[in-house]
Amino acid sequence: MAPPAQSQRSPSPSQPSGKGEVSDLKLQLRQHAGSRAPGADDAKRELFKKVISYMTIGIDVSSLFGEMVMCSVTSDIVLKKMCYLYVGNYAKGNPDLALLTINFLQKDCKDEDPMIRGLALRSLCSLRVANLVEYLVGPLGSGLKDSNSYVRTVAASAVLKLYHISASTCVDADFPAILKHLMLNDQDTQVVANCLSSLQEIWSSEASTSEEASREREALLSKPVIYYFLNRIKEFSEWAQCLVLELVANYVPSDNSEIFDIMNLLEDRLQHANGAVVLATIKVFLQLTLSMADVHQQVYERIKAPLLTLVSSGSQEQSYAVLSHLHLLVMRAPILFSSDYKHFYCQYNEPSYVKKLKLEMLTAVANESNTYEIVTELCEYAANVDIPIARESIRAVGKIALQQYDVNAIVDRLLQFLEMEKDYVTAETLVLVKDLLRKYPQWSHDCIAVVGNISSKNVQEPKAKAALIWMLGEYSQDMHDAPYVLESVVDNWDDEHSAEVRLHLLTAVLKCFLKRPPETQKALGAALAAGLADFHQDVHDRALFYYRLLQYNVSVAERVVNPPKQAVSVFADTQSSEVKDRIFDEFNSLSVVYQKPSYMFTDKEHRGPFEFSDELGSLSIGADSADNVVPAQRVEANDKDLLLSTSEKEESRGATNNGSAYNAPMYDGTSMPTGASQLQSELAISNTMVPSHSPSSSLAVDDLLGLGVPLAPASPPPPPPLKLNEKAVLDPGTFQQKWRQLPISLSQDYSMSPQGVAALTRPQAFLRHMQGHSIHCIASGGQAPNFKFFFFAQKAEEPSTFLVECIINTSSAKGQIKIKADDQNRSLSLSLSAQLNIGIPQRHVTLQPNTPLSINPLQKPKPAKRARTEEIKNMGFVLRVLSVAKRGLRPRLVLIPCRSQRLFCDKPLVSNPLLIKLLQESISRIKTVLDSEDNFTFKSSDFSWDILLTTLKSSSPAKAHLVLEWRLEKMVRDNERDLVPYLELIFLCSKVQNVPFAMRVFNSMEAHGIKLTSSVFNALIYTCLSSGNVMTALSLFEIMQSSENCKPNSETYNTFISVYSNLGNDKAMQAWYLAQKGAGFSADLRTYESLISGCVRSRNFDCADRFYEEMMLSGIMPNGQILENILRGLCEQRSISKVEQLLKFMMDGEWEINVSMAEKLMGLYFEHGTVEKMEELLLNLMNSNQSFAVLQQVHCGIIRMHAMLDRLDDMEYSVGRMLKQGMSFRCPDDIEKVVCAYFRREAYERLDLFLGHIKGSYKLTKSTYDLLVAGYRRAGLSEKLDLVMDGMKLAGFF
Amino acid sequence: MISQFFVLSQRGDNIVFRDYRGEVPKGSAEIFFRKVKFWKEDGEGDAPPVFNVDGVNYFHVKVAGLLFVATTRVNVSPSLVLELLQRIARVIKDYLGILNEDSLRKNFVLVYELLDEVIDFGYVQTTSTEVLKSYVFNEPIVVDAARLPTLGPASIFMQGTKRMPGTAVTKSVVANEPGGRKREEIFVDIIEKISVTFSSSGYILTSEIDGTIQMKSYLTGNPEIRLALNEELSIGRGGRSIYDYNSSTGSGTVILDDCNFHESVHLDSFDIDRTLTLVPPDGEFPVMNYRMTQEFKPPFRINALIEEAGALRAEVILKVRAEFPSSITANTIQVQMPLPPYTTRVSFELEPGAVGNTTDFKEANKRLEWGLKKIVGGSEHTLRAKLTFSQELHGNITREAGPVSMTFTIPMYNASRLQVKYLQISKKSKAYNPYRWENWAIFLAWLIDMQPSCRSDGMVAYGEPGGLGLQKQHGHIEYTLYMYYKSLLNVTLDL
Repeated sequence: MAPPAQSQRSPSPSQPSGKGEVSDLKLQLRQHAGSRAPGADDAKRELFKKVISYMTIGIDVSSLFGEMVMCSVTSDIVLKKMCYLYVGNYAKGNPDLALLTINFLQKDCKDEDPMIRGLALRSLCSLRVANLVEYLVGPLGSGLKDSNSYVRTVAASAVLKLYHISASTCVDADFPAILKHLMLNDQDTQVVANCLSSLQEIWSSEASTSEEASREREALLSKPVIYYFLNRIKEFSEWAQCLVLELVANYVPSDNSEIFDIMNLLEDRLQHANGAVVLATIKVFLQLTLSMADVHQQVYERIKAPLLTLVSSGSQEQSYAVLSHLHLLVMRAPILFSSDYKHFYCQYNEPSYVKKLKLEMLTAVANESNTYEIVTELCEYAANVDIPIARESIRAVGKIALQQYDVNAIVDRLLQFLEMEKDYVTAETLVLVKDLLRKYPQWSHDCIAVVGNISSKNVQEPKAKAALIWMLGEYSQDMHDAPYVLESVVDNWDDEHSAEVRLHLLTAVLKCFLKRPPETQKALGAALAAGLADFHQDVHDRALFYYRLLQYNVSVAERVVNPPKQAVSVFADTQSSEVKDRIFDEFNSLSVVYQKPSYMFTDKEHRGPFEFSDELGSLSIGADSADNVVPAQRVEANDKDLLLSTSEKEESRGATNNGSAYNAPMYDGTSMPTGASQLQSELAISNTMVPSHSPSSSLAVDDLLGLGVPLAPASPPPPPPLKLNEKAVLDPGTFQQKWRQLPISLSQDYSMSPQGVAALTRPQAFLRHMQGHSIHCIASGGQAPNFKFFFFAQKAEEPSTFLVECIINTSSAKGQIKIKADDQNRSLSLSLSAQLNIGIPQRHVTLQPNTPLSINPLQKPKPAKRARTEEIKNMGFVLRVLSVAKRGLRPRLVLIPCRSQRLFCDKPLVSNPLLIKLLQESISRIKTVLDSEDNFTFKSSDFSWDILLTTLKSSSPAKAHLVLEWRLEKMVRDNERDLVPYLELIFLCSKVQNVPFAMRVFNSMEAHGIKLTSSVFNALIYTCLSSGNVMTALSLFEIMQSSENCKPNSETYNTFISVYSNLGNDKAMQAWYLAQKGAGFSADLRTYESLISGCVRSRNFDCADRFYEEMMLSGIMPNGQILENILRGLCEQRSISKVEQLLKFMMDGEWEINVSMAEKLMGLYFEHGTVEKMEELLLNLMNSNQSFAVLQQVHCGIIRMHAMLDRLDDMEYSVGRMLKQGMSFRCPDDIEKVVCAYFRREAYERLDLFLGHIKGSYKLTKSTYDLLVAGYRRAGLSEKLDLVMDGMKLAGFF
Repeated sequence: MISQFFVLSQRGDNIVFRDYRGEVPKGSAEIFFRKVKFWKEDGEGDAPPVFNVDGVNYFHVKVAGLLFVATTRVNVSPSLVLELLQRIARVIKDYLGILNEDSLRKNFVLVYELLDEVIDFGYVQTTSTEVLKSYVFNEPIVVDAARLPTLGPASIFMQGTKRMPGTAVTKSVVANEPGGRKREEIFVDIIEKISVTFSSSGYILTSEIDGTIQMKSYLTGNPEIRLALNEELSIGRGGRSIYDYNSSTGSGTVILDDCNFHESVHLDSFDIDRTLTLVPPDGEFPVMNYRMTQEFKPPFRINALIEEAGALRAEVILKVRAEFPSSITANTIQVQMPLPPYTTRVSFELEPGAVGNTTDFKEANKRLEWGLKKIVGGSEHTLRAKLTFSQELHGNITREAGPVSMTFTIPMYNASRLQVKYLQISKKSKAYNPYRWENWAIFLAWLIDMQPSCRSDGMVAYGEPGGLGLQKQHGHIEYTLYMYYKSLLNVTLDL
C-alpha cells in the first residue's frame, strides 16, 4: 500500500513532486540495472534511497516497478532490503509485475544466510497479491521448519499474512496445525509468541464456520497450554508477555489454589517498568478474583502503588494511558482510594486531558474525611488560566456538594466564586447553585442573598442565564427586585437568542406574578405578548398555554406553575452500570481510555481479543448444545435490521434496556446481562414451557440436545426425531430469497398461556430458548402487542432448511407460525412445529443437566461448570460421588432443623401436662408414667411427640431415650404391622439424635417382617446425618443401591444435599446433586432450597446464581427462603445492580420481603452510602404493601444513614415520615445513632424536639438515657442533664 | 496489533511511513495531523495521546518535536502501543545518537530497517537495541551535535516529561568513534522530579519525588553489572498513609513508596543488600523508576509576592533561597511564573551585582522567566518585576498569577538521598573461560572531591575521561563511568 498522497501540500524544494524526477530516476535505474561494476552498489543505494524517500512523502513511484526489480539482483543486503520495502508497497497495485519479483524472492528464500532467508520470506508473504499465493506455500512450509529461529519467527507471522490473503490456502496447507506444534515446542520464545498471535487471529476468524477451529481456540485456554505459557513467561520479551497475559486473563482456573498460584507467579510482573506488562498483569489479577470479593479488594490495594508509580514515571502519554485505568478503578471503588486523593491533584503543567481525569477522580473519592481538602484544592483550579479546566473544577465542586458531603462549607465557596467576577466562573456557578437549591432548598436564603447581587447583564451564557432566571422566579418572594430584574429581561426579549432562556423567562415571570402580582403584572403582560409572537414553537406554545391557564383560573395556574416542591435527591447518572461493567471487562484496552465499551467505537471484526474472550465464555461449556448459540446469534446481531423497518428495530432493541446505547451486547448473547436480569429472562423461558405438549416430543428434544444422559425408564419409546443442525448457518440474503420462493408447507395457529405472553416482554429469552433447540433466529422485531420472529433451522444430515415465521399477538395471546421448507415433506414440517412449539415438558427439561447452560450464555465459564460436565460424563458411578462426598466431609456434629419434614407439625410449644410430669418424674418411673397416661392424650391433635421429645432431650437425654423405648415396646406389644408408626419413630430418633435407637427400630421392623421401603432408609439416613454419623449414612446409602426394592429415591438425595448444605460443604453438596441427576431424579424445590442456601453459606455465589437460574428454567417457582438466600448472596457480593434486579423481580412477583432481607439490603446500601437507593426501596416497599417490620427496618436504615453522615435535616425529615406512618424505632441503637448525630453537631434544641417527637411512640432504654446523660454532661448543659435524670427516674431506671 | 506506524514532522510531513496490515485507508496521516492541529485551535488543549476517528484509533507520542504515530482498528491495549511508540523513539535515538527531524530524514532507510524488525504484521517483535543490531546494516549518518539547539533542562520540563535525554552524550550505539576506536562507556544518571506545594505560610502541603535511575551503556560484550543502592532503603510504606509524615523511621533510611525495574534487572540480592544485578542492554534505558513521598528537605524555598500598585500596575517579588550546604552549587536555574492574562508589559529589576541572570516576559503565554546560571548553597536571590495591565484590576490578583515552577541541576545532590553506592562490572574475556573472570569495582565515594566540568550544552557530566581513578587500564579496554544527579523542582505556591 502506498503512503497517503499529499497532493494538497505545496511542494517544498526538498520534496520534489513532479513527474520529471521520477522519469529521471527511471533512466538512472535502467543504467545501473545490469551493472556489476565496482561502486555500482553504492550508486544503486543512492538511487534506491531516493525512490524510498519519494515513496515515503507520498509521491507515486510505482511506475519504477520494473526497473526496481531489475536492479534487485544484488548481494548487497542494504539494497535488498530497500528493494523488498519498495516491492511490498507497490506489489498490490501491480499484480502482474509482482510476478517478476517472485523469482528472486523464492531464490532468496533458499539463501545460505538465514537473515536473507527470513527477509525474503517476509517480503514474499507481504506482497498481498492473491494470485501469487501458490508460490508462497512451499517457501513458507520450509521456513517453518528452518533451523534458524529468525526464519521461523518470520515464518510464524507469515502464515498469518498468507491467511489474510487466502484463508483457504493457508488452512488447506495445514499451517495452523504446524503453528500449533511450533507454539508448544519451539525453543525460541519469539517463535512461540508469533505462533500464538497468528493462531489466535486465524482460529478466531475460522471459529464462526469451523467447529474444529473454535475447539482449537478454546483449547488455547486449557490448563496445560496456559501453564506452559505461564511457566515460560519470563523468557518472553516484554511485548510477548503482554500477549500471554492477555490470554491468561481469559483462563478460568478450576479452584482457588490455582488462582493464588497464578497470582504469586505473576506478582513480580507488577514491578515491571513497562506499563503495558503491569496493566496486563493487573487485568489477570482482577479477572481471576472477580468471584472472591475480599481477595478482589486486596488486589485493588496491591495494584495501587505500581499504578501510581507508572503514572508518575514515563512520558506524559504513557502516564495518561495508565491514569485512565486508574481512573476506571477509582470510579469503581472510590472508597479504596479515598486516602490517596493527593495523588490526583492537578499540576499546573499537565495537559488538560490529564487534568480532566484527575478532576473526576477527585470528585469520586471525596468523602467526609477529605472533602475539605479536596474542595480547597478544586477552588484553586477555578482561577486557572485554562478556562475549560476552571469550568470543570467548578462543576466538580458542585458534584461533591450534590454528593452531600459537608455542604455547608461548599456552599460558601461556591458563593465566593460569584465574587470572582469572571464571566465563565459566574456562569458555571449559577448553574450549580440552581442544582444545589433543587436538592437542598434549605440553603435558599444564603444563596439568594448572593445571587440577588448578580446583574443579569453580566450573565450571557444561556445555561447560566436560564439558571438565574429560574432562581428569580422560584425565589421571587425573597429577592427584593426580582420583578424588576425580570421585567428588564423581558424588555430585551428580542435580544435573547436562546429558546431555553425564553422558556425559563416565561415560567419565571408567571411564578413571580403569582407571588407578587401588582409588581409583575406589567412584565407578565409583556412576556406573554412577546411569547405569543415568538417564532419558536415551544416558546409560543408555552406562552399560549399560560395565557389560557390564567384566563381559565388563576389558582389552577398557581398549582401548575408552583406545585409543592420536592427536593431532588438523585441526579441522573450519565452512564449505566452495565456500560461501566462492560468497560471494566475490557480492562487494558481502548475502551478504558474512551470510557466507552468497544462496540461503540469498533467494527465487529476489529473488536480485538475481548470479543473473542466473551465468545469463549459461552463456548467453553463444552462441545454440546451451547456451541450453537454463538454463531447463530452473531448472524442475528449482524443482520437484525435486514427484515425490519426502522421503528421495529428500535422497539426490539430498546425493549428492556435502559437507554438506547446499551443494546448491542444484549443481542450478542455473548454479553453479560447481570445476574438478575438473566434470571428474569430464564424465568420467562421456563414460563414459555409451561403449556405442556405431548411428552413424546421430549425425547426428540433430548436427543436434539445431544446429551447422552439416560432417561427415566418410564419414558415412552421415542418417535422418529427430527435432528437439526446445531450450527446451522444461513445468510439473510438467502433467507429472504428462499422465503419468497418457497410455498408455505405448514401454517398453524395456537394460543398462548399468560406466562408465555409475559415472557415475550423479553424476546431475547424466547430467542435463546429457540436457539437451545437449534432453531435460530435471523430477525425479529415488532411493537407490543405484535411481535414477529423469523427463524431458520437445518436438518442435521442434509442441507435441507426450514424457514419459520412466527407472529405473536400478546394482547390476544394468539400466535401463528408459518413453516416453509426446502423439503416439501409435510410431516417433517409437522415435527419441526412440534419442536418449535413453546411447550416442552417440564420434567425432561429439568432432567437435562446441561439444558440450563445451553440456554444461558453465562458471562464467564464458571470453574465448577467444567468440573460438572466432566462429572456428568462419569455419572452413574454414584460410588465415586460417594467418595467425593466422604472426602469433602469433616466429622462434625450436625444439627438439622426439622423444617423440611412433613410428618410432624410445627405446633408451638403448648404447656403439655405430660411433659411437665415427665420432667418431674425420676428416670426409673418414666415408662410407668407413660403407661399410665391415657391413650387419649397421644391421639389428641394437640399432642406432638416431636416437641415433647426435643424439650425432654434438652433437659434429660436419658428420659428421651426411655420415651422412645417405651413407644417401641408399645408398638411391639401391639404387634404393629403398619409402616408409618415405625417411620415416625425413626424420625423422632432424628430429633434426639439417637442413631442406635433408630437402628433398633429398624431391626425390630425387620424382625416383624415389615416390608422395607426407600422411605425407611431415608428416615434412617436422615437420622444418621442429623447426628453427624456420616459413615453410617453412606453405608446405608450403599445398601440402598445394592438392594432391589429400596433404591435411593429423590428424597434420599435431597436429604444428603440438605445436610451438606447445612454443613456449608458445597462441594459435597454439588456432588450429591449431580448424583441425584445421574440417578435420574429431577431436583425439586427443596433440593434447590438446600443447594442455594448451601452455596450461599459457603460463599460460592456463582453456583448459587446458577442453581437459581436452573431452577427458574425448570419452571419451579422459588420460595421466600430461596429468594432470601439469593439476596443474601448478592448483598455479600456487593453487586448493587443485581440486587436491584432481584428486588424488582420480587416486587413484580409480589413476593414478601422479610425483615432479614431488608436488613441485608440496608447493610448493602449503607456500605455504598446510597441513601437514594434506600429511599427508592422504601417507596417500592410501601407500594407493594410489605410488612410493617420491613418498612420499619428500612426507615430506620435511612435514618441511621443520615445520622451517621450528620445530615440532621434529612434525618429529621425521615424520622418525621416514619412516625407519621405509625412506626417507631426498632432498637435503641438507631435512636442512639440519631442522638449522637445531634451531639456531634451540637444541635441540642433539635435533639429536644426529636426526643419530644418520639416520646409517644418509643420508650427510651437505659442505654439511651446513659448516652444522653453523657452527652449533656460533656456539653456542660446541666439543665438538660437534670431533665434527663428526671426522665430516667420516671422510667424507673434508678 | 497495530496497522500503521509513521513519524510526522512538526509541519505534518511524513518522515517515515510504514503500513503493516493495510487495514487503515490512505490519508490516515493527514487525518491525524489535521485532528491534532485543530484540537489545539479549538481551545481544547492538547489532543489526547489516543483518539478515534471513523473507527481508526490514532496513538501518538511527542518526542523531540516529532510525532510518533500508530494506527489500528482493533481495540488494543493503549498502554502497549504508547509504550511501544516511546520505545521505538528511544531505539531510533540509540542508533542515530541524536533524535531530531534532521537526523531522522538523513537516516530514514536505517529507520525502515529498524521498523521492519521491530514490528511484523502489526505485532511487536523486539525493541531491544542490541538484538536489533544484527539485523541492521545501514550505517548511521551522524548529525553534527554542535549545530543542534541545546535541550536545556527547562525545555524538557515544559514538555512535561521528567525523562531527560539522559546524558549529554549523543552517540550512536553502532557508530564508531572517530579514529575507529570504541570507547567502553557507561552512563548512570539519577534524575528526580520534585513537586512541592507550599502554603502561603511556608508549610509544605504536598511533596513528591519521582525519580529514575537511567543508564546508557556502550559496553561491548554485555558484561554483568552490579549496582548498589543505599543499604538503608525500604520500599513501601506498609499500611500507613502516604502522607503520614510522623512515620519516617530514623534519619538515615530512604523510604520509597514504590518502584519498578527494567526487565533486565535481577532482584535476587536486592532484598538482602540492595544491589541490582543486570546485564545492561545497549543504549539508553531506565534501570529503576521510583516514587517517594517521604518527608524531605526541598533544596530551594521560593517566595512570591504580588502586590497591586495602582489600577493598572502590580509588582511581583520573587525570592529564591538555596537551602543546601554552601559547598554545593546549583546550575542552570530557570524560574517561571504565569502572569495575569491582561499583562502587557513587564520591567525587571535585579539585585545590584547580580551576575549571569536572564529575565524575560514571554508575551505569547504571559509568562515570566528568570534564569540564573549558578546559585551557591545558602544564598538568596531576588527579582522584582513591575507589571503593567491593559485593564483595571478587579478581584484577587493573586488568583490570576499561576504557580511558580523552577528547574535546576544540582550536581551531587539529590533530594531523595537515594544513591548509587558503587557500580561493579564483571567482564568476560573474549575467549570464554570461567576461570578468567575479572571483577571491576568502581566506587563512587571519591566523586565528591571532583570538580565538575561544564560541557558545551550546559549540562554537567562527571568523570570525563582522564578524571582520577575512574578508569582502570586493563589491556586495551578502558571503562568510563559517567554519573550525575539531576533534579527538577516544581513548586506550587499558594499565594
